[in-house]
Amino acid sequence: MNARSRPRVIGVIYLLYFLTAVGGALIAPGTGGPGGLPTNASAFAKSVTSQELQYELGVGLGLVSTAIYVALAGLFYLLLRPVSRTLALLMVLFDLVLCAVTAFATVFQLAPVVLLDGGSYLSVFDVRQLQALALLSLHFSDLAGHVALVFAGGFQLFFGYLIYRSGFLPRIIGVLIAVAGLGWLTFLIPPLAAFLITETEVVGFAAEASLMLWLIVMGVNDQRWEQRAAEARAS
Amino acid sequence: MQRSYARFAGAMYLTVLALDIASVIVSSAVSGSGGFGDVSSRIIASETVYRVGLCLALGGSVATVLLAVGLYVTVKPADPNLALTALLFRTCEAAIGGVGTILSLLLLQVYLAPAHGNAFDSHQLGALADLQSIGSSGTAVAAIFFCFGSTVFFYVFLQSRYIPRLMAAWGVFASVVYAAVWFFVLIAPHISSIPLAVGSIPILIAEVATGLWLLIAGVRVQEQRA
Repeated sequence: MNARSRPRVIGVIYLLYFLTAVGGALIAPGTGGPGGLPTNASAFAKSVTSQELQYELGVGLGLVSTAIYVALAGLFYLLLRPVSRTLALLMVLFDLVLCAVTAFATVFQLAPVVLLDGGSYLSVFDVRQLQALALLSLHFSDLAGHVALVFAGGFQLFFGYLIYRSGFLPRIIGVLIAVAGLGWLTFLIPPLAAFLITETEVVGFAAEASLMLWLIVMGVNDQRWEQRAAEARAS
Repeated sequence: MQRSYARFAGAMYLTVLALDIASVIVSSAVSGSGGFGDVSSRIIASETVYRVGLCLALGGSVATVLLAVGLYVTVKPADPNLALTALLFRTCEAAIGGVGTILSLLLLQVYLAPAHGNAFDSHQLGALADLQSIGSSGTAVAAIFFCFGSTVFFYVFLQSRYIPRLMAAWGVFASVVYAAVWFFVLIAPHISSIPLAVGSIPILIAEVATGLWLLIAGVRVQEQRA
């Protein structure tokens, strides 16, 4: 690993992840952007059918962001492996499960397009029922997102701990990420997650954004990283 | 480190089992049996308890990742390639388990629908609730990935002699039997309840015994080196 350049490459890829994830949510109407999940089936159906290409582009961008997160998992593993190979592996596995579940959730985001497309075999349902199914499918995608967040919690808990222990990245970022991870883990107890959702989202965004900016602007402490890598090789 | 991870894996074996069994007990105690209307009214009456059951299943999937890494670090010195293979199988199991929880939450929304008034009548909702067969298939697929991972882990235990050979051999046997049973469930779902119940006993014994052994006695690293 080139300790001097790779962290900045990771930071740029991290930025790309942010742009595609946020861009996808903003572009696709009703998929978690501003205003949250729609509750009016008819209005949601109208927005999807009138902006179908935009909707599919938004969902596609979300899927691209998931693919980028898979790549990030590998890069974070390489970056943090000198701290603890085992915990870095555990972190990556949580991330991969998170990405698999998130990718599966995309199916539910695409289902409304199929349901509202008016295929002749769907004529056994009336329009109101198809619109209800389309909205239901979007709500399923949201539920799937909640399941994915539990694995995100496991990922960030170990990610934050490794950063905290690393000595080549700021400890405060590690603490923020681990706290965010604990927040996402509250989705195992949904009422607690609902109570803490705003705080968790704020901490989660602040933690990941600060890490991304730090990697792009500051990189890592090269000398410390090389030292940790040498220690890991020796052991 | 290997001994610590072995004890951790033992604890996680028991944790995963406890979470999975508790999840099945809680969910089935709420839903019971009967037609869509009966099941739906029971779930609506005990929605929170039913959700607790689903969260226990999700906790089981999360704990599976921890268990897999614990076992991986324990058996890696004996055979790194097989250890990694088993780790990947168990990780796939966790991912499919997460998807299974999503399908269960999906089904919950269908069962809760009569309480909210909606575009579908009870017959249509009942037909939608038949989607639970998809969830059952998801369980079978996750179980098959579990069986492959479990077979490989127990095989490495058998080769390495980290745990008593009889226990490891029983684990291999039980995992293979369990895989065969779950393939049978996929092929003939309507006549699989008795084979499934019988086929679950060996793997339950293997997991509880191995979990307790790893937790209490750990692994015999010295013997493997000799």
